[in-house]
Amino acid sequence: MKKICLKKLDEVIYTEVLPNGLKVYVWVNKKVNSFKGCYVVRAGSETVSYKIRRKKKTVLFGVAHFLEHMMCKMSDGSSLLNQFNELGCYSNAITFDNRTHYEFMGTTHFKESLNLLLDSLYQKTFSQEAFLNEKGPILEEARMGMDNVKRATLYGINKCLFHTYPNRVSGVGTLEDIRAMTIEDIQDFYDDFYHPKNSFLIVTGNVDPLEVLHTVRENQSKKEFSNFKNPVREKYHEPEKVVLPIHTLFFNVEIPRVYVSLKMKRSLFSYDDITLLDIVNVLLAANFGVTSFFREELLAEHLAVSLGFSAYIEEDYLIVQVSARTKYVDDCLPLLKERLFHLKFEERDIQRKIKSEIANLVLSYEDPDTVCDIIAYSVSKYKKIIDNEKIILENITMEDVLEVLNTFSMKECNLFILRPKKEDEC
Amino acid sequence: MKQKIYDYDGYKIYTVEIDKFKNCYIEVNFREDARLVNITKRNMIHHLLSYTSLQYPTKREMRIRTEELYNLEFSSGVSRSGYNLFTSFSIDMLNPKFILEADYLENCIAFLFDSITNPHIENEEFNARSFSIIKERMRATLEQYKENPLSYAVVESKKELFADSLSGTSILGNVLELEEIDSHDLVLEYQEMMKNAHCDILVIGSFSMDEVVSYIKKYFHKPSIISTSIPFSVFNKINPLREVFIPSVYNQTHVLLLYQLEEITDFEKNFVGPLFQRILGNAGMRDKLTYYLREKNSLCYSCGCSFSFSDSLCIIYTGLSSENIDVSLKYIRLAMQEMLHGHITKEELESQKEKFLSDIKLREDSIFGIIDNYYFHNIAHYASFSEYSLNLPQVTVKDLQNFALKMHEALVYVQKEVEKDEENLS
Repeated sequence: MKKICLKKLDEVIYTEVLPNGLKVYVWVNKKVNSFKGCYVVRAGSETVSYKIRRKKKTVLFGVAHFLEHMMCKMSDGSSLLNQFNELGCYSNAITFDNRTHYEFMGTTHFKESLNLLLDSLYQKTFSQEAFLNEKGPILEEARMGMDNVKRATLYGINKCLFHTYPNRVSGVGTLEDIRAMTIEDIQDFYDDFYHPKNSFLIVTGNVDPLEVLHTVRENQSKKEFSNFKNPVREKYHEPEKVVLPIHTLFFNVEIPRVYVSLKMKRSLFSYDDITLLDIVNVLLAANFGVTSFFREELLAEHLAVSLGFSAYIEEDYLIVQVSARTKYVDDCLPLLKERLFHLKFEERDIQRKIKSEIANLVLSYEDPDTVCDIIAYSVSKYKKIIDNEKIILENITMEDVLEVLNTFSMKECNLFILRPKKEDEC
Repeated sequence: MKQKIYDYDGYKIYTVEIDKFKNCYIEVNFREDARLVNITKRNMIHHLLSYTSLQYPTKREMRIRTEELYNLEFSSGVSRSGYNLFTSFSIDMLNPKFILEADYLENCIAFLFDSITNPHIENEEFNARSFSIIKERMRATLEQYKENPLSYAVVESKKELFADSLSGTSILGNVLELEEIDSHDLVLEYQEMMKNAHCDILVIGSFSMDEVVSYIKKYFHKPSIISTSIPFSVFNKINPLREVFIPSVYNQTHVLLLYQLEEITDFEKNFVGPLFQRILGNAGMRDKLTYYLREKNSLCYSCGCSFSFSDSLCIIYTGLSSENIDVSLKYIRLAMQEMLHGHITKEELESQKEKFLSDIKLREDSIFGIIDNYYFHNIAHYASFSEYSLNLPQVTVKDLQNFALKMHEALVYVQKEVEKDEENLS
């Protein structure tokens, strides 16, 4: 197997591509009892518009998620997860924005569990009875999500920031979409995306890489696969402007929350994604983190109860966001915005933040669950393992931070306010 | 792995020397009789001590120090087991073998005990600024549980069932008591805790425990106390069955059934009860509740049961549409009847035992799992890891039936969804 050495972390990830196109990644930790296996399909809740041989297909929101539920059913309608349970393993399936995970974790019956996972993924046909049976739980899952503050905030802000991206609707789908979905929608989506060439497998923990590879090879060699349809996701032409500069949502919260989000063209910055996000995050930590004077003052004046920040890349845009829980929206929001528009930093602050990030990175390569998630994110987002993350952090200079800061554009900004529903009723 | 207890006048140190993790962990527990102390005040004390200290008079300065110590994580909290109330302070640090500075371990230990023993007290009052920030933050936290429908239902149903008992009291305290806390009185409470509480120190990591103990003795001096035994179980009078229906502001209805337990043996607490919990409602898709409520009748997405053996309580919960309240109650009771009548196949029982043992091995992969198990085995007769593999195979269906006989349905708590036009929900 090919070895990917994670530079200056003393960690190795083994990898191999099988003849059917499935890519396998293995990370070993012989000190733990446990192992984790995760099959990742490159299609998720935001995969709603794509082309196959120039023919455009649009699916309802929530199809990938409904399919994830159906994948966990055996042909007799029983649950696949029960079979993992019988092997002493925990198992789960999760639909993310652009990928779907099927995973197991345990300490015994590794080979049987891995084979069970791989046997459950291909040549599926779904029964109408199982499909109808699953609608009730999925509708309830959607209703449960409607009471979730984090979800309401996420989709609420995305609706304000983006005109075209599919991240504006819950990954579970709306109640209407779920009701309208048919078994054909599910089967089509499965046939279009579930293929080894559109997937990868991760195994982490107390395993032998060669044994893993041997088991996967043997399993896959017995299977036949149809031709990969090579679906191409729609490229959205997202305008630079935010949809709404300011928006208030009334929800079940006790204390209001405020969010200030900047939407900037990714192409403005010359750095690669990882470096850019590392720089922006240390910059935000220095300004809004626990060691910032600004945070200390807001808390002391009771203008906020807590502060948060994040930075992420959404297709062609860098989003920089700061937030606060506050009873005094009208006082807190302008201060938060003002500070975001005039970020400051000192070298010693930045150096300390970088040191903290390095400690976190070193500690993260220990737990099979965490490492599996790191690999899944990295491969699905960047199509490769990032092998120099520690070096990237170590090499960040004050000039880099200054350059990113000078490139910041404050032109497109959204202010999002989450207020208690009872205020609306008043 | 080497385990040892050091018994000194004012405190005991429980140590586990193990070379398995990249981090190390030290926890200091002040253990008191929850009937004799004020839980809200204990919460405020732990927040204040981990916020600032005499040496680090602002949170910013304290956080800078922890970042210098390679992102040392300093946490605190209050928890309860039976009548034992724990006010805890902990540090999660990098294994010193990764650090060049020879005095790293000593510096971390000095920081922990300095924070505990030299709080930010001026003129016999806590620093006014810290006091006011923490009070405001606690107010927000005490209201926040209302934002999660299930948490709200659990808290309110326990208050309903245990109106006059410790079991119905929130571990976070309450707003009325918070408003009455006076800074000077709180200093006296802090001094009382330092003087009279049992103190247990837990240490786990890859270092010489004699060295660690010598540092603890250097930085921590506590007067000895007369050792008293505080019960690890709260026994409440079994209440006659009641039904409570309350309207709510949420989109989903929550149905909870609360069962009270008669006195159980250590064997039941450690092995029978947890196995019962898995078979009834905590085995992924395989348990009885999931089978009846979700798989067979499509009523819900989420359901399950959770036990609090130290409060002799079991809570069964599910989230669904209000038109399904009666039918869900019917199936929950049917699942309980099956447990009572021993309708559990041999295969079901054996596979849950195997899964349970696999989960124990997973806990052995967690630094917190190992030290927690060692500590609670010593102070509260919880099973050690090795006792699980010895005793779990002995559990029979008859044991589970006898356990079910000790469970009494005491409260049906229904938190009904807000009435609104369904089509406008999403």
